[in-house]
Amino acid sequence: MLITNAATSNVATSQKVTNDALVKNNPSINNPMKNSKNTPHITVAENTPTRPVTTLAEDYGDSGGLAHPVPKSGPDMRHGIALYLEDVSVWFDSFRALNDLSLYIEAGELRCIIGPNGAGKTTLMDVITGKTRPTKGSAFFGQVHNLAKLSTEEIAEAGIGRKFQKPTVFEKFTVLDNLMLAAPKDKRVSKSWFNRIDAEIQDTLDSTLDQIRLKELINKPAGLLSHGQKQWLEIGMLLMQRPKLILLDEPVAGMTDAETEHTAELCLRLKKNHTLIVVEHDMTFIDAISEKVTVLANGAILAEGTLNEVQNNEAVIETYLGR
Amino acid sequence: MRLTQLLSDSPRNAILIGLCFLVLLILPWLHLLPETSSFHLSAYWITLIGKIMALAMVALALDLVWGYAGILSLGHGLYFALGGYAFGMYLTRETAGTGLPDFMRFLSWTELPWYWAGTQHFWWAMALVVLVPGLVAFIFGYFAFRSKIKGVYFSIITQAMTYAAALLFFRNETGFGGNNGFTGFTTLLGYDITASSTRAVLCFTTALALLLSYLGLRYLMSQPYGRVLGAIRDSENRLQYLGYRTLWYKLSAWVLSAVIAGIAGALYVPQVGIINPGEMNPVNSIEMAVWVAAGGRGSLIGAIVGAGAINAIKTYFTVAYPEFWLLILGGLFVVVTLFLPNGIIGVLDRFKKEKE
Repeated sequence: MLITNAATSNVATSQKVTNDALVKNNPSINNPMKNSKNTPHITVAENTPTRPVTTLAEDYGDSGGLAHPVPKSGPDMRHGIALYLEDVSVWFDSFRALNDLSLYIEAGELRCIIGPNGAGKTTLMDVITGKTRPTKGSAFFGQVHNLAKLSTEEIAEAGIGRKFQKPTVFEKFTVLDNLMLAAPKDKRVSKSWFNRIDAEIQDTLDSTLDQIRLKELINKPAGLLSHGQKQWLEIGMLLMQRPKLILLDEPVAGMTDAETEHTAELCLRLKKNHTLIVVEHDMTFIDAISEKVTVLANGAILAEGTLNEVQNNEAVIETYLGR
Repeated sequence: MRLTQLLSDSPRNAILIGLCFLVLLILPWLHLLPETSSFHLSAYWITLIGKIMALAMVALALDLVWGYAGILSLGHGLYFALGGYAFGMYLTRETAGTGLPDFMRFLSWTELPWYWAGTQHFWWAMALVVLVPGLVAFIFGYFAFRSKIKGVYFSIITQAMTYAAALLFFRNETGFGGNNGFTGFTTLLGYDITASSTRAVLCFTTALALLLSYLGLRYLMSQPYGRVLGAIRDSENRLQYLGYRTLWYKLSAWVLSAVIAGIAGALYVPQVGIINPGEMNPVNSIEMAVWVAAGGRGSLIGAIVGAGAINAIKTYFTVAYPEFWLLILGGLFVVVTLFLPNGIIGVLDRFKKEKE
């Protein structure tokens, strides 16, 4: 995924510089991800088309969940786009939760999605994770994973992780058990009869615990954690899955200011190796992390741009932010 | 993993549980002592202990699906009876020798139905004991879990299944002795089934099977498999977002549970000397759930304790006050639900915590 185009290398360097500056200026970030050496930095080409020339359905036809055999390494993002949603509509009887929505998320992007209640934010996440099937339109993860056909489990395996609006951790299990359930391993039945922790899982666990700051609490039942800690534990379970695309549904709801700040730092750090979509109402949080913001209203995109741009957009002020 | 860990979480309990199993493994041989010895156990006791241990195995099987995966089965009597019938076929063939079993001659059948083929061989009968409950559980479980049938709806269907099977086995034409089932067994592998040594071996085998299923399930539940089953009980949807195909976890636990119940049935039949469709009666299956609830769900040892305790009480009351037994059973269920949500094991745990 490393782009070696001469024109883009400058962009890559400048982006890296800003990230490094962030780490240096922020004393609380002292635990960079251990495995960052091994994984190439995802850098985004400036000249990546925001819309492909042909639609994917035309390219690959409509045969089954996978357009062609997928390498074990995960989704094919050679075109620089992690997620394609094209003319997606979801109708619940007469109610249109999503209305001809088209959205392209670039690999390595951190996209914020805001919008009033009932705008279709959660439905959008449901479509991406296979919980809800689009009534029409197409949804692809990278070049080959057809999200409209794959099951929730297959989508999770392909590398999409989701944090729910309401923290859903396994309350009776300890923090460690929760994280180990999400560990990056073969999740078939026959592999679950023996407890095997290889170096990769151990590394992921260590780096995750560093990032979510729950190291001292690993043997505590998850049900006894505070609300903010549960949110982090769920983010930790996401990190354990080592997803390529992370969906965060209201990650800072119910967090204190300090916790919110830490979550913002975490998001910015994740951006280096992951693609993120964040749904949030907390504008301070959005301000801290956002590069590009999409405003949803009535199941369609109302505006797209930097936070500043959308905040000054007439239509957005009218329907969402209020005067 | 050390053996003490396999028996229990705390070393002291492990020694206690280990000793209990040791006693169960030794008890059968006391039947062989001369009757004048004060340690002699009569045939009544040896059969009773063997019978209860077989039932404890069913409780163990039920705890796997109910206590861990959260799937309440009210039809485990079906798998128990299927295992029993499979082994009963072998015993019936041994008794009948080269001729047809008695009940077939009464129906003036001239030859064995096709599904009786090979049942004169002990090992084929043993294979059937595992295969028949396993296959029935697989087919039923696959469709039920794939259709995402859960909770009380699933329980009701299991209940209906065992009732339907009971009606089927009641028919003489089904070829399993109808109302009377199989009885009047004489030999097992050529040994007299009522001989002291045969009884002792059967009782010992049951104790051994109980111990092995306990150790096996305990090992499995300490592995990621057990953790995933527990997570299915708490939030199956969440688990799917982590990439687990929960259908296969539920199905494998369901089939394993049915197979253990089937083996228990096969051990039960030669000891009590009869198998009939009454074993598939829904009430029997509900009673099994009561054993597990009374002992304590999700601890395995609780299921064994529950099955032992309730059956001991049952044995006493059905002799002393037969007309009150069902009232007592119902009362027990109410008391357990209201006051002992974690069963007998839960009470013991609480005592231990208070002491500390």
